Amino acid sequence: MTISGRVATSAIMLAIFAGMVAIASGYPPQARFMPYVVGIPGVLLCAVQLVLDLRESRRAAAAGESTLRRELFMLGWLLAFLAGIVLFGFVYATPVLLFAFLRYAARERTKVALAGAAGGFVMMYLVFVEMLEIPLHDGLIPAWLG
Amino acid sequence: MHLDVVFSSLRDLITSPMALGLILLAMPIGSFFGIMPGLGGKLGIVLLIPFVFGMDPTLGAVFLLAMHSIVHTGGAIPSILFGVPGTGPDAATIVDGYPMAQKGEGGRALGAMLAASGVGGVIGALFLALMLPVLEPVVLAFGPAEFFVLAIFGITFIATLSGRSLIKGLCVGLLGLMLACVGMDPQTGVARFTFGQLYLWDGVDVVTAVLAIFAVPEMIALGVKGGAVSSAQTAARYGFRDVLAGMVDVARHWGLTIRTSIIGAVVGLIPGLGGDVACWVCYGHAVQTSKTPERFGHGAVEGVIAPETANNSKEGGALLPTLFFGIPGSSGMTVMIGALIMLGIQPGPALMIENLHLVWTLIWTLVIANILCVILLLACAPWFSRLTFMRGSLLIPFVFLMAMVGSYLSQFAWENMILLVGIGALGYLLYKWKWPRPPFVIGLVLGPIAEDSLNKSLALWGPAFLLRPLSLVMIVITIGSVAFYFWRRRRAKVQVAYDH
Amino acid sequence: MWKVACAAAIVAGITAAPASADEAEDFFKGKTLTYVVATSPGGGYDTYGRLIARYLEKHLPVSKVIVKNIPGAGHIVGANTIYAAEPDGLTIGSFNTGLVYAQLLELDGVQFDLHEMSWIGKAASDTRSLVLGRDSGFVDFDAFAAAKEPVKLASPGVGSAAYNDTKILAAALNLNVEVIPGFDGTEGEMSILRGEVAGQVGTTSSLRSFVANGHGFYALEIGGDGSSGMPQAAAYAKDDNARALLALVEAQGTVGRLTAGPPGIPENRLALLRQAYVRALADPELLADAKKLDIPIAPADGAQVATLIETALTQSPETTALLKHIMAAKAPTVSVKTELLTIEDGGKKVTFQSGSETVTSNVSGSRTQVEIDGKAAERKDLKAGMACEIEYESSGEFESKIIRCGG
Repeated sequence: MTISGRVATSAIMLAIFAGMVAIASGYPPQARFMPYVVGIPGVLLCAVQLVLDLRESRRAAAAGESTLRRELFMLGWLLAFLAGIVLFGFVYATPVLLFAFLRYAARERTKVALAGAAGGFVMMYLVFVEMLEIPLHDGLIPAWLG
Repeated sequence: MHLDVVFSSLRDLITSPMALGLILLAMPIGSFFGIMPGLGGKLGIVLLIPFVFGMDPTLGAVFLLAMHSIVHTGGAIPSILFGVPGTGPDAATIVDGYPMAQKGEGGRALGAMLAASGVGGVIGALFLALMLPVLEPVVLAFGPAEFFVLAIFGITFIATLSGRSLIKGLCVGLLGLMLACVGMDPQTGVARFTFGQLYLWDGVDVVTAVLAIFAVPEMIALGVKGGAVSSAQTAARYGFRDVLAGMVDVARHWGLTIRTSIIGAVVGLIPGLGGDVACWVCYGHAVQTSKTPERFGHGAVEGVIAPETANNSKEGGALLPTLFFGIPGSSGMTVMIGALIMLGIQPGPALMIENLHLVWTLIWTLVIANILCVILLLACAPWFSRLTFMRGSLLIPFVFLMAMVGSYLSQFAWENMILLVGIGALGYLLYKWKWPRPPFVIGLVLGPIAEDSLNKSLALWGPAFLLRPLSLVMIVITIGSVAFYFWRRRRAKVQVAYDH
Repeated sequence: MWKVACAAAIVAGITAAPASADEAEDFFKGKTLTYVVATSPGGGYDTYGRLIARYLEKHLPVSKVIVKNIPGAGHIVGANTIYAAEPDGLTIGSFNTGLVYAQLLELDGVQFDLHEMSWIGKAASDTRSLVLGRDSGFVDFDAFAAAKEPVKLASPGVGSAAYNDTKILAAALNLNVEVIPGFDGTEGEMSILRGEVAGQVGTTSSLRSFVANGHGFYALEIGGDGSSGMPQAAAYAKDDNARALLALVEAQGTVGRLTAGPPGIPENRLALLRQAYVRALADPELLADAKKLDIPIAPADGAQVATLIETALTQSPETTALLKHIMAAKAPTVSVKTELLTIEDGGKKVTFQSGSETVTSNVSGSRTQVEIDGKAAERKDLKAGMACEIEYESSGEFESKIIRCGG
């Protein structure tokens, strides 16, 4: 039995509140006051919502979750962007990621993908680094390599 | 106040080609800083300081202020077109502006936004002018006790912004309040929820959170859905017509426009509340005072007008404590003070006595800059709105990048980007299963103010702080507002029951 | 024979030294120097940092000096970054001298060691002072110090340098004050204007416009050369502990807007950096710019800074313990061997004699470790009359950490 996304979301919210309240119990009284005041009602309300969602799920027949594949696809690309930029820095990662996405995810023509990549690079390098002199993140790997 | 100062400063401003030229130059710069997430606000002014270094003080101040005052006008453009907030306060515009673009009404939304911004900016400047004589007592009336009650009042808006699902809305609001606790507690020095990460000591970055909860889910959704931002088929005749229709909307809703402009200016006036609060409170106000609140969230033009007037009027309000107390009315103003001092202008009560001419020049700058910006962007608006008919897949990677840059620039911390993706993923779940997202921002922004003010109030006066006159007034308003909310819900249910 | 050796050594010395300096110059040629500022853009450290960076570029053979803002955790993130950077001389930066406190108090998150940093110089002196509001009801420091009721002072968040300064001053001079934390930036000044607090402790320069506008007056200065004419804190110190504490605050006032690099920068390059720094800060154009920016310049070179920092970091064990006690940074615990006088509420509260005081301590069900006769026990097993060794927090609810009882 697959857990519907609806129920999963409520469960995740509940877990976040419960987790944070649990962590807060280790803090001295004045520091844990706000987390308790906010967290405990949060736990209760999310629990109620979870129950409501469980009932809703049972009633509504599970409509085909055909969007799941595309959602994971998009999430995957988001993570790829994150990894690329964090590891290699904005200036290097931008053109590569733009090209990759435009060419393979968006299925654009190579020319368009290259143009996009070039545009992004120009933006990053010329505008931010040279003109505005804002040092953008350099990437963990170049920094590690020295 | 001598009236001749009022008009002589205007005359001097208009007849100075340098000044006008600088204001004109500030337009595209300010718009650009507004559009790029992370650049608006503090960073923008800081970047321009080297350029104004050595300029004539008045000209320099005019240039910086002109640039800064229209940042939020530019910032609303990506909010409406792509659901990406150009600056934190422009997030409120997404809630109704982006759905309008999705319906093919992007031009209209832009027109409404521009007119609202212009009107708001001008009213904000007027407000600044009118408040000059009574400034000190008003600003000093707001202490920790009043801040606390104000924060609670703002927090009750979570209910209004929850739409039909009150429980979900409250949960999301509480989540925002919870995340507001992350960081080094200024009262006890305890690092809460930081998991040993030094980077979290200053809390969850608001810009990152706003980008994550609004922009990321919209882009993922766009990628999943395919197609363009606007699902409307008619890409046909979009031109000035739509944009003008939006501007007419502002005239139609003139009551709301004026009210939210004033609310925005007042919030800007009170140092410490911050710009993010103004737009959400005004958005909530629009929902509350509408006869058909269920339209909000799906493309109600009032949802664009209200926050946008506030975004621009608050700058006028924020200038007051900045100029006369040297106390920044917003984070952008913090840098502005430094810039003013560097130009040789010393903020303080003396300014009003010694250099009223400068003060009025700045007021007129606000007016002119806002009006000019509207005219200039108006010309570009139809072209901007065409972007919503572009293939979404072309847009998505650029928006991802903009969001990453924006969240990185906010604290120069690459960890913010990880936070962006994490909260973004949660944001997508919330979006998909119809958990209202605006309450999250309210909780995140007002949480620290509420907790901090509560602690200070208790330390200063004990629980009796609630009995201070201004606090009592606001408590009554808050209770009234909540009661009003429940009364309307009951009426709506009765209405529905009756209709069946 | 040895004359030849001597001559050779002298010749080698003469030719080696310039060669070292040349090598340093060559190294820096064409490279980019990164100047880290431990705060976000805008604000004092950023202003000083950008000014100094501009003139370092002029006086160093580097092709460019870029400023990088690395804010976070009250300058700690920036300082950590500088400390961990490659010690080739191409990364230097500035952070709050108040991090001395962070190191002395052994705060979490501190990954630097100020003993080891390569000190390049400092740009200003900024003493700490106490400012009282015009309407505070006190006309001078003496009136303030003689107050019967606790006087409220505003300060930024717990753990910040100004908070530490306030608490240390209060402890050193035995002042009857209640510190209300959480007032960042100019919020403290607003609070004074509203009459909620009587005043605050801060850097003399940051409070200058407040005083100039007539809202308050300088009641006391900690450190400085006495040229300001303000009452000096040192005059009120009554014992060595007080003097040591004040000296700590004074040292920080002297070393303002410092510039440092990571440990291990090669000698010759560090020398070149220090030299360039001194030249930059003596450059008449920089001084003119600083005047326009309205920021005071009172430079010192790296060697002097190193000495001052060392002095600040060298505190006697008593002073360090006192410091920790004042800060209650880790809720300093007191250990006492005593008898349990009364038990309340099923063991949730115990009362005992500690020295000359009777202490009522909270016993937590989860956090307090209870042992009876060497075996783990519950708080409900505690009985009046038991002889126990108790370790408890010396403030707040005096929560016991460990209670070890025999028989």
